[in-house]
Amino acid sequence: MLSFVLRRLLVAIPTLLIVSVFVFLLLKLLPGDPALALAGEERDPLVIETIRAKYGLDQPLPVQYLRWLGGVLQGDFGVSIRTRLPIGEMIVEKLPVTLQLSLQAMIIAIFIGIPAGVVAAFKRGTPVDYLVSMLGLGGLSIPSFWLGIMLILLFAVSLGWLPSGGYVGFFESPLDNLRYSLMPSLVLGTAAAAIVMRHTRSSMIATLQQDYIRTARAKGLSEYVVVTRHALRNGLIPVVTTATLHLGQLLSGAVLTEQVFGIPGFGKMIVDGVFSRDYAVVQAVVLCAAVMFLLMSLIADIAYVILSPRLRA
Amino acid sequence: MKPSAKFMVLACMLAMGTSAASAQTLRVGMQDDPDALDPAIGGTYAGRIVFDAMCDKLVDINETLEIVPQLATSWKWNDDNTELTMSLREGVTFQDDTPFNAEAVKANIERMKTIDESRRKSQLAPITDVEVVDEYTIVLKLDAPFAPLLSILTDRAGMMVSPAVAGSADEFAANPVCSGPYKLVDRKARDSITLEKYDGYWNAGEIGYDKIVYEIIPDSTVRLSRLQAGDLEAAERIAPTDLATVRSDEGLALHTSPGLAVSHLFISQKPGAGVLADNADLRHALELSIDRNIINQVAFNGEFTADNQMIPPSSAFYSMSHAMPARDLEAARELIAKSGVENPTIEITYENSLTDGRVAQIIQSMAGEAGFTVNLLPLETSSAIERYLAGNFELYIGNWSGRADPDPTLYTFFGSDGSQNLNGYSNPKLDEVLISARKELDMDARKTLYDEAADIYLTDLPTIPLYHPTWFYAAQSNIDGIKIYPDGILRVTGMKPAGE
Repeated sequence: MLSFVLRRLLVAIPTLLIVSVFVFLLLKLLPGDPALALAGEERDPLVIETIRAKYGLDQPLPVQYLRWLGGVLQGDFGVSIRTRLPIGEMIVEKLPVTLQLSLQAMIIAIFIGIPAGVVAAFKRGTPVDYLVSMLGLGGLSIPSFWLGIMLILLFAVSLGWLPSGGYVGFFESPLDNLRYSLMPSLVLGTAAAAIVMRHTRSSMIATLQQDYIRTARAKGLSEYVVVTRHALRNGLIPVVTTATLHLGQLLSGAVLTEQVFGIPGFGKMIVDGVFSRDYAVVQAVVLCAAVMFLLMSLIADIAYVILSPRLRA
Repeated sequence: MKPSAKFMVLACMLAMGTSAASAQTLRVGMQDDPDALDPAIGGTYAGRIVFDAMCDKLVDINETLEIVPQLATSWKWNDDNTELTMSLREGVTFQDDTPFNAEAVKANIERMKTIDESRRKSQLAPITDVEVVDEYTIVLKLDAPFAPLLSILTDRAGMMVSPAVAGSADEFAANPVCSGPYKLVDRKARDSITLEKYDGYWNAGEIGYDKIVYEIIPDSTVRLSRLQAGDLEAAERIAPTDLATVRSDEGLALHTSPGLAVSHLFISQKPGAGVLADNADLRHALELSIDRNIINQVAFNGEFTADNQMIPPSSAFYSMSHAMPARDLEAARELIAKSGVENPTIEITYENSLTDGRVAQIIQSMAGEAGFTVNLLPLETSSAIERYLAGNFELYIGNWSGRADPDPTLYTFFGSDGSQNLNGYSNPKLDEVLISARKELDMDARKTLYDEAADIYLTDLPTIPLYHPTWFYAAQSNIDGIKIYPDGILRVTGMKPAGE
């Protein structure tokens, strides 16, 4: 197990390097130039030159990349060209926000998705199954920005129960933090719930056709015992993997949701960074998101090994 | 409208209080996150809103665009208009308690003129020397008369920062210290900017809030809904389509001002840049095929000002002798026939925003009825800006924020060496008129010169101005003292909760 984890961590290093080079080159392929985006309306050519020189934008690409990498290896992500604020601080500020939203969304998704999926699997082919599948399709298809605006209209504007957007840190006020993060987590959790539901349903259907389930039923065990002791235990293993992997995806930024609710997280940071060609910001966010994604898929694999006795060597 | 019953339900349901801030906090919803908070290098409109609370300027404008005192209390030109003597306000301190005086003004102007990233260099270029006469008197020396100088000092170039901390640009932007009523305490990128009242402010009696939080909320509908929900006291740039909502809500007030900005259809004059480049008849045909009122109605609910000039009608320099031409398809078709160009085909490049996209499509359809084939090239902002600056376009929808003085608009776009002259337009006669107007300090003589400039550029038509946006702020109706001027800045001096 330990050697497996170490192997995976070693493989992660070249992966991250490749990702960072790839993103760096992609950004450079984009037309537009941060010095121009920054220069404001007057766009004085002198100022543009100064900015280019100051941030090394006039250097050859490999030099630019290595400078950035050198900084990152020393724990220095540089400053945002646009605001002159240190990027390291921006990440420390925004990561917990997205982390919290993603976790809450995942909890919501699991609480809705797993029971719904199990019910649909057992009632396969009945109207109940169709209803759950329809709702799941809806959850996947509804655009998050639309759902977000509708929730704001209902809970914030009409009823006045929840704030319409913005964010309060957990340590500033835990209660307010929950009130501010409830709607965005719900929006984020909707699609995740649909995914969890579908995976649960198909995995449970597959499990219920296994021989050992037939054996258990033949032994005369009650349906309740068959489900909890035998079917769920095995049927939910792939779901854990899916949910963990999906959490990794959520962490790489809930772009639209964060925009609608005005939540200062990773998603917003990367979109804004791309639009203002703030290269260092985008690279830092992508690097962090890639680290999270790799970490989550590692956790998912470890969980899979732990949960499936058959895979334990 | 928040009936107390709703609060009862809320209290029972959630057993938690609302998060309404104390009455002394002003929360303002902003569309954009400002860039660097240093008046020497800042370049965004959002930044100017925040600077209003942080940094006082030498002079300001009022609603009719006249120059009024702020840190300078009076000023006088010498006989040949090459020296501006300013008397400074006494007893003013910066937020780090450094005294404000003539030496500080000199240090500021030199900083703006010298630090390597300063974007104010070209604006302040006419000032060749700053002389300290005594503690509260300063003389700005020019090499030639320059009428727009005072107007330039009403914006970032006239903002005074503490000489004690005005070292490097980066460090200052993270911890700015000016002499305005509020001091920066916290900035979260893309999220919020929090300011706190500066107790030593010279005009403290006019300051009604202890704290200001500028919250960045890019979506105008979300900004409005947060205002309605009571999470904000004020919000800027309400969309024209949402104005009916604001007007019908008794809890909200709408504050408007005609703006200085202009949106215009910029036409390349470079050889080979399309059929319009060297053909004024075709340019006039295009103008006659467009109904600006329809653009205003369809894209902006009729809330903006349709117009044919770069300078808005609210300006004293607006030319009265050039009424906006009505749409005339017949005349447009005749001009096309006269030009001899068969099926003239043109391409409009623009930033792919909702508003510019709508405007481009309306123009495409209207010009099509006159016989133009219009192709549209929407580009993402940074790409569009790059093409614009390279002069790589046939037509471009330009959005210029405008200035209180006509010179920075007209000379910049139409002067042969103007910094926004990206379409290669050049007319020696117009250069001469614009440079004379720049040196003329007499109001009536200046008006005459700008009338003449309008005659020339509206005949040559290097660009087709379309409309001037209006500034729309919405605020809770129980806030007193909100005044919006044509520069669209929310001035916090004088704002206070009603009944305080």
